[in-house]
Amino acid sequence: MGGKRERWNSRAVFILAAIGSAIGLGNVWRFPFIAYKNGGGAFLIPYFFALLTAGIPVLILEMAIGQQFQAAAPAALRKARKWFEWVGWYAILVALVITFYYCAIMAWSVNYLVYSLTMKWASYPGGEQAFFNEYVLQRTTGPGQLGQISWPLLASLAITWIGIYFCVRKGTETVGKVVWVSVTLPILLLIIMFLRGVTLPGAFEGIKLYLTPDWGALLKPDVWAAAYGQIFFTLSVGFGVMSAYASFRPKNTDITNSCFITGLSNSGVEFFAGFAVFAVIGYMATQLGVPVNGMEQAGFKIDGPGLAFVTYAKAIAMLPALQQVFGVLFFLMLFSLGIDSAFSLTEAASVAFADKFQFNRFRANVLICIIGFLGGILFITGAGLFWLDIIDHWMNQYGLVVVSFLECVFLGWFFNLRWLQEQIDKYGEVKTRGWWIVMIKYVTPIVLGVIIITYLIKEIREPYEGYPQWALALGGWGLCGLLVLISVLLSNMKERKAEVKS
Amino acid sequence: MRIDAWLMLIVGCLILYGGLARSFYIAYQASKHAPPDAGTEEEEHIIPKTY
Repeated sequence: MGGKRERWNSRAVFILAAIGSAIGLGNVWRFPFIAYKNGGGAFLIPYFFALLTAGIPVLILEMAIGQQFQAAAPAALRKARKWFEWVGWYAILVALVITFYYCAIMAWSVNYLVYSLTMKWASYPGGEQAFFNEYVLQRTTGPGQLGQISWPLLASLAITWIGIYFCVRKGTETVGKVVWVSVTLPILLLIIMFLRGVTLPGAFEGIKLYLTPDWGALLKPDVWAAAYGQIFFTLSVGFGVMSAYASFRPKNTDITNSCFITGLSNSGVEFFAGFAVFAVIGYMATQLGVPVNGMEQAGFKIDGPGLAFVTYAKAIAMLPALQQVFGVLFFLMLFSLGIDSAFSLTEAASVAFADKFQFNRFRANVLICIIGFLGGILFITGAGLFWLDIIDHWMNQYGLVVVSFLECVFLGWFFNLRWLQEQIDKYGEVKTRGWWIVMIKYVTPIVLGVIIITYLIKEIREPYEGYPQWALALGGWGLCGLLVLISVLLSNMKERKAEVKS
Repeated sequence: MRIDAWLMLIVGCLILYGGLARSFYIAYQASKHAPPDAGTEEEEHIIPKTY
């Protein structure tokens, strides 16, 4: 045995860190839109079904292997079976690539936070959309034209990575302190945005749009696929983060109830965020004289970066008072939502490399932050948004979904899952019994398999978002192939044994 | 707002926030009746070779 493994200060800190990793930008700009597009209130039925049959079981699986094998995803999977290891590395590399562009989005938030002080976008000729594309991103016409690096964004990217470095500097010791602020602050700010939103005229019309169920949607397979997709994108599974975090908990402690708390907190925040978002959309529609369900047709994006940096920015400018204050609060909320997800991905990579090669964690963190900063520069060029869109699509659909699928198949069918279940039930506050094994062995792999095949068919039929084939080949399939190759190489590299300390 | 929209709001809140409250309650109860060795640093356990 080498030196003693790091430990969280308390269970509360571990749960907060897991919640912080799960709650991210997608909770605000993805869930409300997906719910609205897929049956409104009726979407909650497939969503809860997906949470209980796939989200929480996979979360338990990832945390359980981390905790039981006391290692991050690659080393934990290697201890289960040697040939599983590359899946763990693939998860870590996907997480690293996601961090590159996730931090670029956080850099946009930092810039907007500064612009909020003067409401710069409100007076820009051409409006909020032009401000975002021309002034902030300096967007070019396609992925082939890189254009210039935006210097304000470069400065914000550096600030973001310096912030991440300080969060993960001493591993669990610093993360354990930061999460008390980075998890509670965005929730507090979300409550403020919610209270402001629901007290605006027309807010109720937006909330009605969000909640009114379309029961016919429940008969559509696409809606169920969207629910399962949302659950996988929102819970931070398939990145190796949860295994890394759980590896800092002693083996003889609960994991199942911690997973329920993490999963339900994450879903609770995104369900709540829907009210804040749709209240503001209702207000905007009323002010602009547009039907509330016609906002998209009127040119307002209600999901993704378009929602945060264009539609919401315009809504803030339209507020009757305190625009600057709400601008700062909103973009601070976005930044604080993102930072714990970003540093959890960094931490997962750092722990994985430290476990395999016995790297000094301090040096590993510095190296990852420098690589992350350099990797993020592509996303703050004029073509950054195009590359972000392409890479995000592939990393989500053929990264984390594929990792979750392989984890379930490998551990469900080529490993003694019953032994793992007995270990987690021994100290688990909620007993998994037979249902968990059924979910991991049958339900989740079948559902994920169908989703992956559906994605592939769609990809073959039409190029994603009409991007040129060379860009999709490079940023999509090429990048995924490269990550698989590096994963296999890393898994075949010799492990360095920890030095025995007397 | 339609009655079924209110219904989904109530169901959503009950499952999410009610479930969360229940999980916290279970954790609280468990902390009072934890096994004596829970959370202590135990010996490395052996993974069975049966798989």
